[in-house]
Amino acid sequence: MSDSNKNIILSLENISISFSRDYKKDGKELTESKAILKDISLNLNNGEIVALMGGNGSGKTTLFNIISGLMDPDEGKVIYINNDITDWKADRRAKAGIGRLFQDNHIFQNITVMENMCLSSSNRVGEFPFISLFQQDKSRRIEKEREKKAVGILSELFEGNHETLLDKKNKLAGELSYGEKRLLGLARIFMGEYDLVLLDEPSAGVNEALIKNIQDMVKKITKKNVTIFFIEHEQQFVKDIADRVIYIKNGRIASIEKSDIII
Amino acid sequence: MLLQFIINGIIIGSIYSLVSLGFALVYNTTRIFHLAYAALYMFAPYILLTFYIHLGIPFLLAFIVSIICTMTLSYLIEYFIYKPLNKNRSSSEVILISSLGIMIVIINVIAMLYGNETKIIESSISNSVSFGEIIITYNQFWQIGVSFILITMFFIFLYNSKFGKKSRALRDDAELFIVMGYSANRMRMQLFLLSGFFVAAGSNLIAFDVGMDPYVGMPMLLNAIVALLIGGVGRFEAPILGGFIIGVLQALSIWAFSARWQDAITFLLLILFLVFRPQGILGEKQRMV
Amino acid sequence: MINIYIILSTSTNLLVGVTNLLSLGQAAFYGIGAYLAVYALMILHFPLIPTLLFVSLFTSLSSLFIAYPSLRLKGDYFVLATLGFQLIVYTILYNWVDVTRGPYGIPGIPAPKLLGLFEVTGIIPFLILSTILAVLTVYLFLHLIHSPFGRVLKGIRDDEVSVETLGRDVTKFKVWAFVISSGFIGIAGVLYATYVSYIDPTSFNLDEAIYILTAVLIGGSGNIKGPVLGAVFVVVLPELLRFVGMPDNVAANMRQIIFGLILIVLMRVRPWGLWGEKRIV
Repeated sequence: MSDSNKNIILSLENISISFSRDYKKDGKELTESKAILKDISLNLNNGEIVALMGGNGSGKTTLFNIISGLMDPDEGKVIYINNDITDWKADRRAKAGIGRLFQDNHIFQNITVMENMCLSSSNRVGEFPFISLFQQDKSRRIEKEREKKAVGILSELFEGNHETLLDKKNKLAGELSYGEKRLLGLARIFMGEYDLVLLDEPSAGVNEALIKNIQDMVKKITKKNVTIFFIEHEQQFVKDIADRVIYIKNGRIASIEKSDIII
Repeated sequence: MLLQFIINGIIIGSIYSLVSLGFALVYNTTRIFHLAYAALYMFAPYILLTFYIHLGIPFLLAFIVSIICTMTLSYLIEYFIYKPLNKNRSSSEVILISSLGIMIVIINVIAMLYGNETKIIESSISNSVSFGEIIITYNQFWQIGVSFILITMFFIFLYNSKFGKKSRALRDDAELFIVMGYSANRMRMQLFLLSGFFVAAGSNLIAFDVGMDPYVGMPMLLNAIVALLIGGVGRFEAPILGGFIIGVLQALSIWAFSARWQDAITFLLLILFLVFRPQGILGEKQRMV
Repeated sequence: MINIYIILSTSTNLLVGVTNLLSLGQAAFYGIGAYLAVYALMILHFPLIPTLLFVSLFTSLSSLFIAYPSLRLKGDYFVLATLGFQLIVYTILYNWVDVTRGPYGIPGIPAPKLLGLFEVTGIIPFLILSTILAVLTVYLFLHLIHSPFGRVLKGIRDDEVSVETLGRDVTKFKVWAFVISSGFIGIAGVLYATYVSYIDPTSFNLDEAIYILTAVLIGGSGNIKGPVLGAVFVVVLPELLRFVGMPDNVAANMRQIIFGLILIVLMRVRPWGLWGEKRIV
């Protein structure tokens, strides 16, 4: 880990985590422990696109949770751009440039599409109580910037029925179709300034036509020299855009391959 | 004299344990914040009062009728209030508010029918037995005796029956529970009936001693919740442990300060545990996801 | 009176409707506000505006006591913590007789002096004062709800985890919501103390907290219209019952029964309240 230190954006060292449950059986106190991840170490290079693959329940989402800061590992360290962020809370990690797309549709159902986008902006000025009351011009200007950026992103997203997400910008996000919600989730990533983006199954549950659209969007993210770490089951998808693939099995890394080796 | 307080505390603690157990039966398994439980607590002795005093039915029979009526009401609440919300996949706040709603309704109906003043069931002073300087009334004997028997019976039942295993399974994973072929609805019915049984028993044991008014439910519910929390959510031993702890602690605070502050001590204990040890004494540390 | 409740319910709405933090502690802050007002008016002899500022500041500060510990707890436990807080405050107000005179109450609260000139006594001046304060409160909260700050709170309502991974410190926002709402509730306490000119702890107990909550829950949560109309509803209904000729002692119970039934029905079919912000819950 010497000369390529400058190029490694994320480094996981010996990450282990397990869930345990206390229960009683035949009058005895037992603790059932299930190791989810065992001694995971890996490096991601700046600007790489890496896929994380493995069977269901192999711990992929848990690994992402640990990187995002939503779960604490039992052992191991998370190093991000040469900083040990193992103790950092999730919001601090996000501010430092780690973005996250969740597997289920974690969008904000009860606010509009446009509000979803603005809330995802990395520009958090004005999110302080009453400040926009006193600095009306400034906050209005910043809000316009946010909206403009959102409009740019939304106008390129559509589900295939000739209506872009931009047309639906004032609709409550909860009223969108499944595919549209997925797109919105991805769109929110664009609103932020991230250096490392974690995508959890971006094309899950989405129909064929849309997958291409999503692929294009993911490729667009890479143009900004952003490192992408993504979980996917769609082999073709992975083959098309990933540089490397990391396979996880039973909580351990099984292999790391170049993506053209995928069968 | 400290010993007298402690003994009183233990005895009242046994009732707290009983009542808390009833609450835990619902909360541990279904995660419903069963505020309406306070109304059930208040309901039972009024039925007892009606049948025993107003209708002149023999005490034991009236006691049993009161328990049956409370169990029925408990189930009705589950059937008409909680089950439909559960089907709607309502959030826990919505369920809590509905529980609050029905609690308000029941309490005020009783208040309207019977009035707000304290009612007494047995107006004579109970006889008592002395052990040296310690005095224990007959009522207290009943309280601790019945509680003890009921609690013991419960645990025998819990660990030696399918019911116990099923309750714990339901708590852990409601969907898996259904997949395994057990009827979640029937399970819930049984839980609510049992919960009603315990709250009625505990409530009557107290009401017989000191009387009741339409508003006794809430303070007792709080004691029950704190008992459960201190003991640790997740196991049925917890409310028992918690109940006795609170009983003794309250007695000690009466001895040390005065009766006025015992509630504050209980709530302070609540906050301390919430902040420092939300899993209670026996509980498991939960991982935040 | 309606105006007082408008302030109360709009403030509570920020916590309950916009951020989805169900709190049972409102009456505690109401009471703290009222007793602080007494201190400011009767002992420090503050005129009106400094009293308002003083009370809202210190009520907000007192809310920090409960905010930090309880906001790290999830769901049910948070409600429990606010409940505990409410009861502790009530018990202190009731029993610390040396300071608060406990159940004997504090009579003869003087009318506040506005700008050292007018004394605010009498129905009309109070009506004007309370309306001004209510309108001001509504305006401020209207602004808050639609500001980027409010947007973050709504995001927290829907999905805290997402908000966190978008780089916002959720706990900090929750604390702000708590502090702001309690500050305004304290102001309502000032109004109450000076309007009724007598206070005792029983006006600030758990029932009162539930009453305030009912105004928000029935009227509507999440927007401005809801809590305002809810406050009106909740204050007017008991008067209506009295008007219809129901005897007083029955009316109190009847009012509660009606509220309880409405709550139950609403939670089934319209959980965001009658005039609230329609939501996918």
